[in-house]
Amino acid sequence: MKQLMTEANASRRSFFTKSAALFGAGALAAKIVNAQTVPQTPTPAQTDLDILNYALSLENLEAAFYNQYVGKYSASDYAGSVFTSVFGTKINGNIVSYIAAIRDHENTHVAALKSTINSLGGTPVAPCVYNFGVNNVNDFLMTAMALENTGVMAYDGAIAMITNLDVRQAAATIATVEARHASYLNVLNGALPFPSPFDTPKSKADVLAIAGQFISSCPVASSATNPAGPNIAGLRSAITTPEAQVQFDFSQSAATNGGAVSFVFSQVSGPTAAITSARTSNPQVFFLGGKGTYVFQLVVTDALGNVQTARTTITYM
Amino acid sequence: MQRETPGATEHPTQETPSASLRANAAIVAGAALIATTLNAQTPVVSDLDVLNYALTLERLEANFYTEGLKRFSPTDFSNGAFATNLGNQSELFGDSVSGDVYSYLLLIRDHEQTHVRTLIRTIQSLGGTPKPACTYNFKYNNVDDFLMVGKVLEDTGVTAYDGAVRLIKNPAILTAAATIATVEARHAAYLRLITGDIPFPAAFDTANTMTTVLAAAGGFITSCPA
Repeated sequence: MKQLMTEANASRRSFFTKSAALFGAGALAAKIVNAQTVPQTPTPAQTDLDILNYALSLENLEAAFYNQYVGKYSASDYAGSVFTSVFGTKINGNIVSYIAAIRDHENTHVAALKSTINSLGGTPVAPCVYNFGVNNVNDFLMTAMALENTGVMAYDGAIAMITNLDVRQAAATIATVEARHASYLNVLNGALPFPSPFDTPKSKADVLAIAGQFISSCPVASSATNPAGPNIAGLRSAITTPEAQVQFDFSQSAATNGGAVSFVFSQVSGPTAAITSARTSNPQVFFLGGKGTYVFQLVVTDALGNVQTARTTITYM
Repeated sequence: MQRETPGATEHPTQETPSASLRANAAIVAGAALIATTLNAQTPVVSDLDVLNYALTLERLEANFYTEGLKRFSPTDFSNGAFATNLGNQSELFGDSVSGDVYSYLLLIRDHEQTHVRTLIRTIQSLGGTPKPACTYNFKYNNVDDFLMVGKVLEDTGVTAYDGAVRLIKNPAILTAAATIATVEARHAAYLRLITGDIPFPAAFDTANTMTTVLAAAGGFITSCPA
Protein backbone atom coordinates (compact mmCIF):
# COMPACT_ATOMS: atom_id res chain seq x y z
CA MET A 1 0.00 0.00 0.00
CA LYS A 2 1.13 3.47 -0.71
CA GLN A 3 1.87 6.11 1.84
CA LEU A 4 -1.59 7.57 1.35
CA MET A 5 -2.87 4.89 3.65
CA THR A 6 -0.59 6.00 6.42
CA GLU A 7 -1.66 9.53 5.78
CA ALA A 8 -5.35 8.67 5.95
CA ASN A 9 -4.95 6.56 9.05
CA ALA A 10 -2.91 9.21 10.75
CA SER A 11 -5.54 11.76 9.85
CA ARG A 12 -8.25 9.60 11.31
CA ARG A 13 -6.37 9.07 14.51
CA SER A 14 -5.70 12.74 14.92
CA PHE A 15 -9.19 13.86 13.93
CA PHE A 16 -10.50 14.07 17.46
CA THR A 17 -7.55 15.81 19.02
CA LYS A 18 -7.21 18.16 16.10
CA SER A 19 -10.87 19.04 16.12
CA ALA A 20 -10.85 19.56 19.85
CA ALA A 21 -7.94 21.92 19.49
CA LEU A 22 -9.36 23.77 16.54
CA PHE A 23 -13.00 23.99 17.36
CA GLY A 24 -13.77 22.66 20.81
CA ALA A 25 -12.59 25.76 22.55
CA GLY A 26 -14.20 28.19 20.18
CA ALA A 27 -11.08 28.69 18.19
CA LEU A 28 -13.02 28.73 14.97
CA ALA A 29 -14.59 32.01 15.94
CA ALA A 30 -11.20 33.44 16.87
CA LYS A 31 -9.73 32.14 13.66
CA ILE A 32 -12.45 33.77 11.61
CA VAL A 33 -12.08 37.10 13.35
CA ASN A 34 -8.33 36.95 12.95
CA ALA A 35 -8.76 36.20 9.29
CA GLN A 36 -10.47 39.54 8.92
CA THR A 37 -7.90 41.61 10.73
CA VAL A 38 -4.55 39.89 10.49
CA PRO A 39 -2.72 40.03 7.17
CA GLN A 40 -2.49 36.52 5.81
CA THR A 41 0.68 34.96 4.51
CA PRO A 42 0.78 35.78 0.82
CA THR A 43 -0.16 32.76 -1.23
CA PRO A 44 0.23 32.44 -4.97
CA ALA A 45 -2.88 33.58 -6.78
CA GLN A 46 -4.92 30.62 -7.92
CA THR A 47 -7.32 31.28 -10.75
CA ASP A 48 -10.56 29.35 -10.96
CA LEU A 49 -9.07 27.51 -13.94
CA ASP A 50 -6.07 26.49 -11.80
CA ILE A 51 -8.42 25.13 -9.16
CA LEU A 52 -10.63 23.39 -11.70
CA ASN A 53 -7.57 21.70 -13.20
CA TYR A 54 -6.42 20.77 -9.70
CA ALA A 55 -9.84 19.18 -9.08
CA LEU A 56 -9.65 17.48 -12.48
CA SER A 57 -6.24 16.00 -11.69
CA LEU A 58 -7.75 14.41 -8.57
CA GLU A 59 -10.90 13.23 -10.33
CA ASN A 60 -8.74 11.79 -13.15
CA LEU A 61 -6.90 9.81 -10.51
CA GLU A 62 -10.07 8.59 -8.79
CA ALA A 63 -11.74 7.70 -12.09
CA ALA A 64 -8.67 5.80 -13.28
CA PHE A 65 -8.60 3.93 -9.98
CA TYR A 66 -12.21 2.75 -10.17
CA ASN A 67 -12.09 2.12 -13.93
CA GLN A 68 -9.10 -0.12 -13.39
CA TYR A 69 -10.42 -2.17 -10.48
CA VAL A 70 -14.22 -2.11 -10.29
CA GLY A 71 -14.70 -4.90 -12.82
CA LYS A 72 -12.11 -7.09 -11.13
CA TYR A 73 -14.02 -7.86 -7.95
CA SER A 74 -17.27 -9.78 -7.64
CA ALA A 75 -19.79 -9.94 -4.82
CA SER A 76 -18.08 -13.06 -3.53
CA ASP A 77 -14.71 -11.29 -3.54
CA TYR A 78 -16.17 -8.59 -1.34
CA ALA A 79 -17.96 -11.08 0.88
CA GLY A 80 -14.62 -12.78 1.41
CA SER A 81 -12.67 -9.64 2.20
CA VAL A 82 -11.44 -9.11 5.73
CA PHE A 83 -13.60 -6.00 5.98
CA THR A 84 -16.96 -6.97 4.56
CA SER A 85 -17.11 -10.48 5.97
CA VAL A 86 -18.63 -8.97 9.11
CA PHE A 87 -21.59 -7.40 7.26
CA GLY A 88 -25.01 -8.88 6.64
CA THR A 89 -26.55 -9.73 3.30
CA LYS A 90 -28.08 -6.30 2.77
CA ILE A 91 -24.81 -4.41 2.79
CA ASN A 92 -22.83 -7.13 1.06
CA GLY A 93 -25.49 -7.53 -1.60
CA ASN A 94 -25.21 -3.88 -2.59
CA ILE A 95 -21.44 -3.46 -2.62
CA VAL A 96 -20.89 -4.24 -6.30
CA SER A 97 -23.59 -1.85 -7.50
CA TYR A 98 -22.69 0.88 -5.00
CA ILE A 99 -19.01 0.77 -5.95
CA ALA A 100 -20.04 0.92 -9.60
CA ALA A 101 -22.14 4.00 -8.79
CA ILE A 102 -19.07 5.63 -7.22
CA ARG A 103 -17.06 4.87 -10.37
CA ASP A 104 -19.81 6.43 -12.49
CA HIS A 105 -19.83 9.54 -10.28
CA GLU A 106 -16.07 10.03 -10.66
CA ASN A 107 -16.29 9.64 -14.43
CA THR A 108 -19.14 12.15 -14.47
CA HIS A 109 -17.04 14.57 -12.38
CA VAL A 110 -14.18 14.23 -14.88
CA ALA A 111 -16.48 14.92 -17.84
CA ALA A 112 -18.14 17.88 -16.13
CA LEU A 113 -14.82 19.43 -15.05
CA LYS A 114 -13.30 19.08 -18.53
CA SER A 115 -16.39 20.61 -20.06
CA THR A 116 -16.29 23.49 -17.59
CA ILE A 117 -12.57 24.13 -18.11
CA ASN A 118 -13.10 24.18 -21.86
CA SER A 119 -16.07 26.52 -21.55
CA LEU A 120 -13.93 28.94 -19.52
CA GLY A 121 -11.25 28.92 -22.20
CA GLY A 122 -8.79 26.70 -20.35
CA THR A 123 -7.04 23.47 -21.25
CA PRO A 124 -7.99 20.43 -19.17
CA VAL A 125 -5.00 18.55 -17.72
CA ALA A 126 -4.53 15.12 -19.21
CA PRO A 127 -4.67 12.00 -17.06
CA CYS A 128 -1.34 10.64 -15.82
CA VAL A 129 -0.06 7.09 -15.60
CA TYR A 130 -0.93 5.73 -12.18
CA ASN A 131 0.26 2.95 -9.92
CA PHE A 132 -2.11 2.22 -7.07
CA GLY A 133 -0.30 -0.79 -5.65
CA VAL A 134 -3.57 -2.70 -5.27
CA ASN A 135 -3.19 -6.48 -5.14
CA ASN A 136 -6.52 -7.65 -3.73
CA VAL A 137 -9.98 -6.55 -2.68
CA ASN A 138 -8.75 -5.45 0.75
CA ASP A 139 -6.16 -3.14 -0.82
CA PHE A 140 -8.84 -1.87 -3.16
CA LEU A 141 -11.28 -0.94 -0.39
CA MET A 142 -8.60 0.70 1.74
CA THR A 143 -7.20 2.70 -1.14
CA ALA A 144 -10.70 3.75 -2.21
CA MET A 145 -11.38 4.96 1.33
CA ALA A 146 -8.14 6.92 1.39
CA LEU A 147 -8.77 8.49 -2.02
CA GLU A 148 -12.30 9.59 -1.12
CA ASN A 149 -11.30 11.06 2.23
CA THR A 150 -8.43 12.88 0.54
CA GLY A 151 -10.86 14.20 -2.06
CA VAL A 152 -13.04 15.64 0.70
CA MET A 153 -10.06 17.41 2.27
CA ALA A 154 -9.04 18.74 -1.14
CA TYR A 155 -12.43 20.22 -2.00
CA ASP A 156 -12.90 21.58 1.53
CA GLY A 157 -9.55 23.34 1.20
CA ALA A 158 -10.21 24.66 -2.30
CA ILE A 159 -13.76 25.98 -2.08
CA ALA A 160 -12.85 29.28 -0.42
CA MET A 161 -10.37 30.05 -3.22
CA ILE A 162 -12.95 29.82 -6.00
CA THR A 163 -14.23 33.20 -7.12
CA ASN A 164 -16.87 32.28 -9.72
CA LEU A 165 -19.97 31.60 -7.62
CA ASP A 166 -21.38 28.98 -9.98
CA VAL A 167 -18.09 27.10 -10.01
CA ARG A 168 -17.84 27.40 -6.24
CA GLN A 169 -21.32 26.02 -5.73
CA ALA A 170 -20.67 23.19 -8.18
CA ALA A 171 -17.49 22.32 -6.25
CA ALA A 172 -19.53 22.17 -3.04
CA THR A 173 -22.04 19.79 -4.61
CA ILE A 174 -19.16 17.54 -5.65
CA ALA A 175 -17.46 17.83 -2.24
CA THR A 176 -20.52 16.51 -0.43
CA VAL A 177 -20.81 13.60 -2.85
CA GLU A 178 -17.16 12.70 -2.23
CA ALA A 179 -18.02 12.86 1.49
CA ARG A 180 -20.90 10.44 0.93
CA HIS A 181 -18.52 8.06 -0.84
CA ALA A 182 -16.02 8.47 1.99
CA SER A 183 -18.66 7.79 4.63
CA TYR A 184 -19.73 4.57 2.92
CA LEU A 185 -16.18 3.37 2.32
CA ASN A 186 -15.30 4.12 5.93
CA VAL A 187 -18.18 1.83 6.98
CA LEU A 188 -16.95 -0.92 4.65
CA ASN A 189 -13.47 -0.59 6.11
CA GLY A 190 -14.78 -0.70 9.68
CA ALA A 191 -13.90 2.94 10.34
CA LEU A 192 -16.16 5.66 11.70
CA PRO A 193 -18.11 7.13 8.78
CA PHE A 194 -17.90 10.61 10.31
CA PRO A 195 -14.77 10.84 12.45
CA SER A 196 -15.11 14.49 13.42
CA PRO A 197 -17.71 17.29 13.57
CA PHE A 198 -15.59 19.13 11.00
CA ASP A 199 -13.73 17.63 8.08
CA THR A 200 -10.14 18.75 7.60
CA PRO A 201 -9.40 21.18 4.75
CA LYS A 202 -6.06 20.47 3.13
CA SER A 203 -3.90 22.71 0.98
CA LYS A 204 -3.28 21.99 -2.68
CA ALA A 205 0.38 21.27 -1.95
CA ASP A 206 -0.49 18.73 0.75
CA VAL A 207 -3.09 17.00 -1.41
CA LEU A 208 -0.84 16.84 -4.48
CA ALA A 209 1.93 15.40 -2.36
CA ILE A 210 -0.47 12.61 -1.33
CA ALA A 211 -1.77 12.11 -4.87
CA GLY A 212 1.79 11.99 -6.16
CA GLN A 213 2.26 8.67 -4.36
CA PHE A 214 0.01 7.11 -7.00
CA ILE A 215 1.43 8.85 -10.08
CA SER A 216 4.06 7.15 -12.19
CA SER A 217 4.32 9.80 -14.88
CA CYS A 218 2.35 12.64 -16.44
CA PRO A 219 2.30 14.00 -19.97
CA VAL A 220 4.73 16.81 -20.72
CA ALA A 221 3.60 20.31 -21.54
CA SER A 222 4.02 20.44 -25.28
CA SER A 223 4.69 16.96 -26.44
CA ALA A 224 5.31 16.24 -30.09
CA THR A 225 5.65 19.86 -31.12
CA ASN A 226 8.47 18.63 -33.29
CA PRO A 227 7.92 15.05 -34.48
CA ALA A 228 11.61 14.77 -35.39
CA GLY A 229 12.79 16.15 -32.09
CA PRO A 230 13.80 14.10 -29.06
CA ASN A 231 11.15 12.74 -26.68
CA ILE A 232 11.28 14.59 -23.41
CA ALA A 233 10.95 12.61 -20.20
CA GLY A 234 10.80 13.79 -16.62
CA LEU A 235 9.09 17.16 -17.07
CA ARG A 236 5.52 17.69 -15.98
CA SER A 237 3.58 20.66 -17.36
CA ALA A 238 2.58 21.83 -13.91
CA ILE A 239 4.16 21.19 -10.55
CA THR A 240 3.04 22.39 -7.17
CA THR A 241 5.48 22.07 -4.34
CA PRO A 242 5.92 23.21 -0.74
CA GLU A 243 9.70 22.79 -1.14
CA ALA A 244 12.03 25.68 -1.99
CA GLN A 245 13.85 23.61 -4.57
CA VAL A 246 13.15 21.01 -7.23
CA GLN A 247 15.51 18.41 -8.66
CA PHE A 248 14.79 17.19 -12.17
CA ASP A 249 15.79 14.01 -13.95
CA PHE A 250 15.50 14.19 -17.73
CA SER A 251 17.86 11.27 -18.29
CA GLN A 252 15.18 9.12 -19.92
CA SER A 253 14.76 11.68 -22.70
CA ALA A 254 15.82 10.16 -26.00
CA ALA A 255 16.48 11.18 -29.57
CA THR A 256 14.18 9.61 -32.14
CA ASN A 257 17.32 8.51 -34.02
CA GLY A 258 18.76 6.91 -30.90
CA GLY A 259 21.77 9.24 -30.64
CA ALA A 260 22.92 11.43 -27.78
CA VAL A 261 20.94 14.45 -26.64
CA SER A 262 21.91 17.69 -24.92
CA PHE A 263 19.91 19.77 -22.47
CA VAL A 264 19.42 23.47 -21.74
CA PHE A 265 17.15 24.36 -18.83
CA SER A 266 16.31 28.03 -18.32
CA GLN A 267 13.83 30.29 -16.57
CA VAL A 268 11.09 31.97 -18.62
CA SER A 269 9.24 34.01 -16.01
CA GLY A 270 8.47 34.40 -12.34
CA PRO A 271 10.43 35.52 -9.29
CA THR A 272 14.18 35.05 -9.14
CA ALA A 273 15.33 31.46 -9.34
CA ALA A 274 18.77 29.87 -9.41
CA ILE A 275 19.49 26.90 -11.66
CA THR A 276 22.39 24.55 -11.18
CA SER A 277 23.60 22.00 -13.74
CA ALA A 278 21.40 23.77 -16.29
CA ARG A 279 23.08 21.98 -19.22
CA THR A 280 22.73 18.47 -17.86
CA SER A 281 19.91 15.96 -17.57
CA ASN A 282 19.71 16.69 -13.82
CA PRO A 283 19.26 20.41 -13.25
CA GLN A 284 18.14 21.72 -9.90
CA VAL A 285 16.21 24.95 -9.32
CA PHE A 286 16.06 27.05 -6.16
CA PHE A 287 13.20 29.47 -5.65
CA LEU A 288 15.18 32.43 -4.34
CA GLY A 289 12.29 34.84 -4.91
CA GLY A 290 10.07 33.01 -2.46
CA LYS A 291 6.59 31.64 -2.95
CA GLY A 292 5.08 32.23 -6.36
CA THR A 293 4.67 30.89 -9.84
CA TYR A 294 7.80 30.13 -11.85
CA VAL A 295 7.97 29.07 -15.49
CA PHE A 296 10.94 27.17 -16.91
CA GLN A 297 11.82 25.87 -20.34
CA LEU A 298 13.68 22.76 -21.30
CA VAL A 299 15.31 22.52 -24.73
CA VAL A 300 16.58 19.12 -25.78
CA THR A 301 18.68 18.81 -28.93
CA ASP A 302 19.84 15.64 -30.64
CA ALA A 303 23.09 15.09 -32.56
CA LEU A 304 21.42 16.04 -35.83
CA GLY A 305 20.18 19.35 -34.48
CA ASN A 306 16.52 18.32 -34.05
CA VAL A 307 15.07 20.34 -31.18
CA GLN A 308 12.27 19.63 -28.72
CA THR A 309 11.03 22.26 -26.28
CA ALA A 310 8.77 21.94 -23.26
CA ARG A 311 7.76 24.25 -20.45
CA THR A 312 6.77 23.66 -16.88
CA THR A 313 4.91 25.96 -14.51
CA ILE A 314 6.00 25.46 -10.93
CA THR A 315 3.91 26.81 -8.10
CA TYR A 316 5.99 27.12 -4.95
CA MET A 317 3.46 27.50 -2.15
CA MET B 1 -42.58 29.39 9.70
CA GLN B 2 -41.03 32.72 10.44
CA ARG B 3 -38.34 34.06 8.20
CA GLU B 4 -35.06 33.62 10.00
CA THR B 5 -33.18 36.05 7.85
CA PRO B 6 -34.50 39.56 8.17
CA GLY B 7 -33.24 41.74 5.40
CA ALA B 8 -32.59 38.88 3.05
CA THR B 9 -34.05 39.50 -0.35
CA GLU B 10 -33.99 36.15 -1.94
CA HIS B 11 -34.86 35.29 -5.45
CA PRO B 12 -36.02 31.74 -6.00
CA THR B 13 -33.77 31.35 -8.96
CA GLN B 14 -31.68 28.44 -7.82
CA GLU B 15 -32.68 24.92 -8.54
CA THR B 16 -35.73 23.19 -7.28
CA PRO B 17 -35.13 19.48 -6.70
CA SER B 18 -36.83 18.54 -9.95
CA ALA B 19 -34.96 21.17 -11.90
CA SER B 20 -31.81 19.83 -10.35
CA LEU B 21 -32.49 16.36 -11.67
CA ARG B 22 -32.80 17.82 -15.12
CA ALA B 23 -29.65 19.84 -14.59
CA ASN B 24 -27.78 16.75 -13.49
CA ALA B 25 -28.99 14.93 -16.55
CA ALA B 26 -27.60 17.79 -18.58
CA ILE B 27 -24.26 17.46 -16.84
CA VAL B 28 -24.13 13.77 -17.55
CA ALA B 29 -24.74 14.66 -21.15
CA GLY B 30 -21.56 16.70 -21.04
CA ALA B 31 -22.75 20.21 -20.30
CA ALA B 32 -20.59 22.48 -18.22
CA LEU B 33 -20.82 22.59 -14.46
CA ILE B 34 -21.76 26.21 -14.59
CA ALA B 35 -24.95 25.33 -16.40
CA THR B 36 -26.23 23.78 -13.16
CA THR B 37 -27.09 27.15 -11.72
CA LEU B 38 -29.18 28.73 -14.35
CA ASN B 39 -28.94 32.49 -14.27
CA ALA B 40 -28.77 32.44 -10.50
CA GLN B 41 -28.87 35.88 -9.00
CA THR B 42 -26.95 36.44 -5.84
CA PRO B 43 -29.25 37.52 -3.04
CA VAL B 44 -28.04 40.35 -0.87
CA VAL B 45 -27.31 38.38 2.28
CA SER B 46 -24.60 39.08 4.86
CA ASP B 47 -22.33 36.42 6.30
CA LEU B 48 -24.14 36.87 9.60
CA ASP B 49 -27.44 36.14 7.88
CA VAL B 50 -25.99 32.94 6.45
CA LEU B 51 -24.48 31.95 9.79
CA ASN B 52 -27.85 32.43 11.51
CA TYR B 53 -29.50 30.44 8.74
CA ALA B 54 -27.02 27.62 9.36
CA LEU B 55 -27.63 27.95 13.11
CA THR B 56 -31.39 27.61 12.56
CA LEU B 57 -30.83 24.31 10.78
CA GLU B 58 -28.21 23.02 13.20
CA ARG B 59 -30.45 23.82 16.19
CA LEU B 60 -33.24 21.85 14.55
CA GLU B 61 -30.93 18.88 13.93
CA ALA B 62 -29.38 19.03 17.40
CA ASN B 63 -32.83 19.11 19.04
CA PHE B 64 -33.96 16.20 16.88
CA TYR B 65 -31.13 13.89 17.95
CA THR B 66 -30.98 15.08 21.56
CA GLU B 67 -34.67 14.47 22.20
CA GLY B 68 -34.99 11.34 20.06
CA LEU B 69 -32.05 9.57 21.66
CA LYS B 70 -33.45 10.39 25.10
CA ARG B 71 -36.72 8.80 24.08
CA PHE B 72 -35.35 5.66 22.42
CA SER B 73 -32.97 3.08 23.87
CA PRO B 74 -30.43 0.94 22.05
CA THR B 75 -32.94 -1.91 22.42
CA ASP B 76 -35.58 0.11 20.56
CA PHE B 77 -33.19 0.38 17.64
CA SER B 78 -32.43 -3.34 17.76
CA ASN B 79 -36.18 -3.99 17.49
CA GLY B 80 -36.82 -1.39 14.80
CA ALA B 81 -38.48 -2.52 11.61
CA PHE B 82 -35.54 -1.06 9.69
CA ALA B 83 -33.51 -3.84 11.25
CA THR B 84 -36.11 -6.60 11.09
CA ASN B 85 -38.34 -5.97 8.07
CA LEU B 86 -36.26 -7.86 5.58
CA GLY B 87 -34.89 -10.46 7.95
CA ASN B 88 -33.25 -10.24 11.30
CA GLN B 89 -30.79 -7.55 12.12
CA SER B 90 -27.73 -9.64 11.52
CA GLU B 91 -28.93 -10.78 8.13
CA LEU B 92 -29.77 -7.26 7.12
CA PHE B 93 -26.69 -5.36 8.09
CA GLY B 94 -24.58 -7.75 10.09
CA ASP B 95 -23.68 -7.35 13.72
CA SER B 96 -20.86 -5.04 12.80
CA VAL B 97 -23.07 -2.27 11.46
CA SER B 98 -26.20 -2.94 13.52
CA GLY B 99 -24.25 -2.88 16.75
CA ASP B 100 -22.91 0.56 15.90
CA VAL B 101 -26.21 2.28 15.13
CA TYR B 102 -27.01 3.74 18.53
CA SER B 103 -23.45 4.87 19.26
CA TYR B 104 -23.14 6.36 15.78
CA LEU B 105 -26.40 8.27 16.28
CA LEU B 106 -24.99 9.61 19.55
CA LEU B 107 -21.94 10.75 17.62
CA ILE B 108 -24.10 12.51 15.05
CA ARG B 109 -25.95 14.22 17.92
CA ASP B 110 -22.62 15.39 19.34
CA HIS B 111 -21.57 16.75 15.96
CA GLU B 112 -24.77 18.76 15.59
CA GLN B 113 -24.41 20.14 19.11
CA THR B 114 -20.82 21.12 18.31
CA HIS B 115 -21.97 22.84 15.13
CA VAL B 116 -24.55 24.81 17.15
CA ARG B 117 -22.00 25.92 19.74
CA THR B 118 -19.45 26.85 17.09
CA LEU B 119 -21.97 28.86 15.07
CA ILE B 120 -23.19 30.71 18.16
CA ARG B 121 -19.64 31.68 19.10
CA THR B 122 -18.80 32.67 15.56
CA ILE B 123 -21.91 34.85 15.24
CA GLN B 124 -21.13 36.53 18.56
CA SER B 125 -17.50 37.09 17.62
CA LEU B 126 -18.65 38.89 14.48
CA GLY B 127 -20.94 41.13 16.52
CA GLY B 128 -24.17 39.38 15.61
CA THR B 129 -27.00 37.95 17.69
CA PRO B 130 -27.54 34.20 17.44
CA LYS B 131 -31.12 33.22 16.62
CA PRO B 132 -32.72 31.39 19.55
CA ALA B 133 -34.01 27.85 19.36
CA CYS B 134 -37.60 27.16 18.29
CA THR B 135 -40.15 24.61 19.42
CA TYR B 136 -40.09 21.56 17.19
CA ASN B 137 -42.32 18.67 16.28
CA PHE B 138 -40.69 15.93 14.25
CA LYS B 139 -43.76 13.70 14.12
CA TYR B 140 -42.10 10.34 14.65
CA ASN B 141 -43.61 7.53 16.66
CA ASN B 142 -40.92 4.87 16.50
CA VAL B 143 -37.27 4.41 15.62
CA ASP B 144 -38.06 3.77 11.97
CA ASP B 145 -39.85 7.10 11.63
CA PHE B 146 -37.01 8.67 13.57
CA LEU B 147 -34.36 7.37 11.17
CA MET B 148 -36.38 8.44 8.13
CA VAL B 149 -36.74 11.97 9.53
CA GLY B 150 -33.02 11.99 10.35
CA LYS B 151 -32.22 11.07 6.77
CA VAL B 152 -34.42 13.88 5.46
CA LEU B 153 -32.84 16.40 7.84
CA GLU B 154 -29.29 15.43 6.88
CA ASP B 155 -29.99 15.42 3.15
CA THR B 156 -31.67 18.81 3.53
CA GLY B 157 -28.67 20.11 5.48
CA VAL B 158 -26.41 19.11 2.60
CA THR B 159 -28.55 20.98 0.06
CA ALA B 160 -28.58 24.00 2.39
CA TYR B 161 -24.80 24.23 2.83
CA ASP B 162 -24.19 23.49 -0.84
CA GLY B 163 -26.48 26.39 -1.70
CA ALA B 164 -25.03 28.70 0.95
CA VAL B 165 -21.42 28.64 -0.22
CA ARG B 166 -22.26 31.11 -2.98
CA LEU B 167 -23.54 33.58 -0.38
CA ILE B 168 -20.59 33.60 2.04
CA LYS B 169 -17.88 36.21 1.59
CA ASN B 170 -15.40 35.63 4.42
CA PRO B 171 -12.99 32.89 3.21
CA ALA B 172 -12.52 31.45 6.72
CA ILE B 173 -16.28 31.09 7.12
CA LEU B 174 -16.49 29.57 3.65
CA THR B 175 -13.94 26.92 4.53
CA ALA B 176 -15.67 26.22 7.84
CA ALA B 177 -19.02 25.86 6.05
CA ALA B 178 -17.44 23.47 3.55
CA THR B 179 -16.01 21.32 6.34
CA ILE B 180 -19.45 21.17 7.99
CA ALA B 181 -21.21 20.45 4.68
CA THR B 182 -19.10 17.37 4.04
CA VAL B 183 -19.77 16.09 7.57
CA GLU B 184 -23.53 16.50 7.04
CA ALA B 185 -23.07 14.53 3.82
CA ARG B 186 -21.28 11.79 5.76
CA HIS B 187 -24.21 11.66 8.21
CA ALA B 188 -26.69 11.60 5.31
CA ALA B 189 -24.87 8.75 3.58
CA TYR B 190 -24.86 6.69 6.77
CA LEU B 191 -28.55 7.26 7.50
CA ARG B 192 -29.41 6.36 3.92
CA LEU B 193 -27.33 3.18 4.21
CA ILE B 194 -29.05 1.97 7.39
CA THR B 195 -32.51 2.79 6.01
CA GLY B 196 -31.84 0.81 2.85
CA ASP B 197 -31.16 3.66 0.38
CA ILE B 198 -28.12 4.17 -1.81
CA PRO B 199 -25.86 6.51 0.22
CA PHE B 200 -24.98 8.66 -2.82
CA PRO B 201 -28.00 9.04 -5.10
CA ALA B 202 -26.37 11.33 -7.68
CA ALA B 203 -22.99 12.46 -8.98
CA PHE B 204 -23.82 15.97 -7.77
CA ASP B 205 -25.77 16.92 -4.68
CA THR B 206 -28.50 19.52 -5.08
CA ALA B 207 -27.89 23.09 -3.94
CA ASN B 208 -31.02 24.65 -2.50
CA THR B 209 -31.86 28.25 -1.69
CA MET B 210 -32.56 29.53 1.80
CA THR B 211 -36.22 29.94 0.84
CA THR B 212 -36.58 26.32 -0.24
CA VAL B 213 -34.72 24.94 2.77
CA LEU B 214 -36.51 27.09 5.33
CA ALA B 215 -39.85 26.08 3.85
CA ALA B 216 -38.86 22.42 4.28
CA ALA B 217 -37.55 23.01 7.81
CA GLY B 218 -40.76 24.86 8.68
CA GLY B 219 -42.61 21.57 8.53
CA PHE B 220 -40.83 20.58 11.74
CA ILE B 221 -41.17 23.90 13.57
CA THR B 222 -44.13 24.60 15.86
CA SER B 223 -43.19 28.11 16.88
CA CYS B 224 -40.20 30.41 17.21
CA PRO B 225 -39.53 33.24 19.68
CA ALA B 226 -40.57 36.58 18.25
